[in-house]
Amino acid sequence: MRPTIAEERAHAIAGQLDDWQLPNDERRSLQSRFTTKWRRNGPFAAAGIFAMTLFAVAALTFLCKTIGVTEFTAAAISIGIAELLILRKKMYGSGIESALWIGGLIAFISGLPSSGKPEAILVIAAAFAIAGWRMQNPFFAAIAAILAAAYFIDIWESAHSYWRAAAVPLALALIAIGAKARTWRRPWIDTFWSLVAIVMPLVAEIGGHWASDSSGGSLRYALVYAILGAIALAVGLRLREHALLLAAGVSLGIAGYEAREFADYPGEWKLIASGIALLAFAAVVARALRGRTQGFVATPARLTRYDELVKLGGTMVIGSAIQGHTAESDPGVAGSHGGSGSFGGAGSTTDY
Amino acid sequence: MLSFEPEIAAADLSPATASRLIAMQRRKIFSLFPEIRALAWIGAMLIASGVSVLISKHINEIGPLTIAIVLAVAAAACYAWAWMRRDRQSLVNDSILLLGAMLVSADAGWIESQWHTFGPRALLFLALFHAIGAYRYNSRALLSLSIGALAGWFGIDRKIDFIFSSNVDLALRAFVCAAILAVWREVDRRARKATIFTPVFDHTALLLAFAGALILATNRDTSGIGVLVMLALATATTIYAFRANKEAYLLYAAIFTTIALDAWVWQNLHGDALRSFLTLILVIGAVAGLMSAHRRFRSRAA
Repeated sequence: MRPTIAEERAHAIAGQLDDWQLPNDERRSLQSRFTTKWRRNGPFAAAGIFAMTLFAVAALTFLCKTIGVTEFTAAAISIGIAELLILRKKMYGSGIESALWIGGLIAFISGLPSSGKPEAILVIAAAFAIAGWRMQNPFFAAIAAILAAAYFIDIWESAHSYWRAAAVPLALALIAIGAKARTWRRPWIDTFWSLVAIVMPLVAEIGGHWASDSSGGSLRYALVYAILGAIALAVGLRLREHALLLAAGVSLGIAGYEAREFADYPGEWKLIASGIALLAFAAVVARALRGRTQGFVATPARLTRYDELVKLGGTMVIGSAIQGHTAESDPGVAGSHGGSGSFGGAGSTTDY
Repeated sequence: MLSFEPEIAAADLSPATASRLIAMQRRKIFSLFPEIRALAWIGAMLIASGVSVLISKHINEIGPLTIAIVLAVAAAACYAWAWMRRDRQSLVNDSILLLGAMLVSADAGWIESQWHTFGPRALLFLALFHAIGAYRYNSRALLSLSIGALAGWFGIDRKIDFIFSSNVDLALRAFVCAAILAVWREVDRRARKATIFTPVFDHTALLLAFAGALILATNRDTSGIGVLVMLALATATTIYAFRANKEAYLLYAAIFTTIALDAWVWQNLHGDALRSFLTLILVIGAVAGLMSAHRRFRSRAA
């Protein structure tokens, strides 16, 4: 009905073989040892196929609605096909069956009469939780957790209290940090806790400010996120777990953002100072780890297969934004020709 | 946390490999490489963003010439730092070099907005400058900045909504930019056997070309020609993807072609039932095609 623990672990090992830097013969041997009956796609292909299948479910739902057979028919067809593909074709992790499951459940929900009540968020959360459990998909499960937290933020919004709104996501973040200390046999559950630990501090910060209708920084908020970050950092370093180090980075980043008003300098100087601090810290850690072969090392490794792609894409976007931003500067400057100019060519009329 | 120690211990591996992998599973060896690189990159981006805001807010206090000189000196210092340490293995040098390039971009934008020195050619010169830097330092990050500036020179916006702008002129500029990148890629590949730039050229040229075709396909007046161009591009990309064994390119072809065909259906046919039915058929066909292609890629890899 779904992959056993051994099969799921085999899939996770197969996904890590590139990072293990094995000789060809040993790699082939491991590959054949950890081959299962399930048909899967790599993450990039699965993500593309997932998006396209979701689009197909949307078209099917619209078609069913247009010809008057309701969204429930679309839901039944989608989930039915998903189960058929899983049971007959042994497809699990191809991107198709996940999209059919979640698309089918969303189609079902869209067919229900709209009540406008906050409980609708819980219904969608339940859909993601069911699809997450059925497909062993940590992203669906994490979205379910985020929606559950959003439900509490929504119902407690009337109190206009930051802490009340942030309580559930902060508690979930702490639970996730604790859960990461346990050795899980199913990789998807471990990934689910990683995602919750990383995302929940952000949900708490956004939800808290939304509920309290405030945008200013607060030293108390900063302190709480600094403590949460320190806990994640300590546990992450003790367990040597990348996800918790990333979660610590998120919490500490929020703490820095909340503390922004407590140093009497303009924002741009704070940006520059924090950038220099990060760069210097990275340099110090890199220097301290140079030449080490045991314990903490700095040998090339990656978090995902797409680290480089993300970095280059981010560089291209931020680089363009920076050159555009400076070109849009205040034109009224004494002693200069002033004014924004035409910072583009080749027939473009882009006036910056 | 996860540990695959039982599976590794039971696998048929040499003692050296098994002990290395088990040490990794027990976290006796734990690399902080991704964290250090990410911190350095975020640090560089924060500094560059801060400088960019600083310029826009404090022009009157500092003065335009001072800003231009200070930025140039800071950028030169970053380039010099990276040059002096180019033979050493370092996790932060890349980010310092990138910071220098970002400062050059900010400085170029500033100088152009104040003195209109190069006029419309400013971004082209910037693209050229970053390209020279990319080759001198063998840096893909600088190459991506160069390509970004080149695309900017062609007036291709950095926002995603430019794809749905329906501006035919913009589509043509996207094609020209993609063609220049394709030629540049080929010259680079032939001139430098050990080049690491090819994937950067491939991804950006393909995305630009597909975006151009999509702009044509979503424009009511050019939707037919847009679909034809998209089909031609998709065919060429599919052939290249199989030859180069790059599945990601095939994915681009499938996704962009499906969107273009669906746009054509919704613009040129009538009746919601027919349109949604055809959309469904097209997407199912694309997914089936991708699955079949994926199987071929996997069987070739095995």
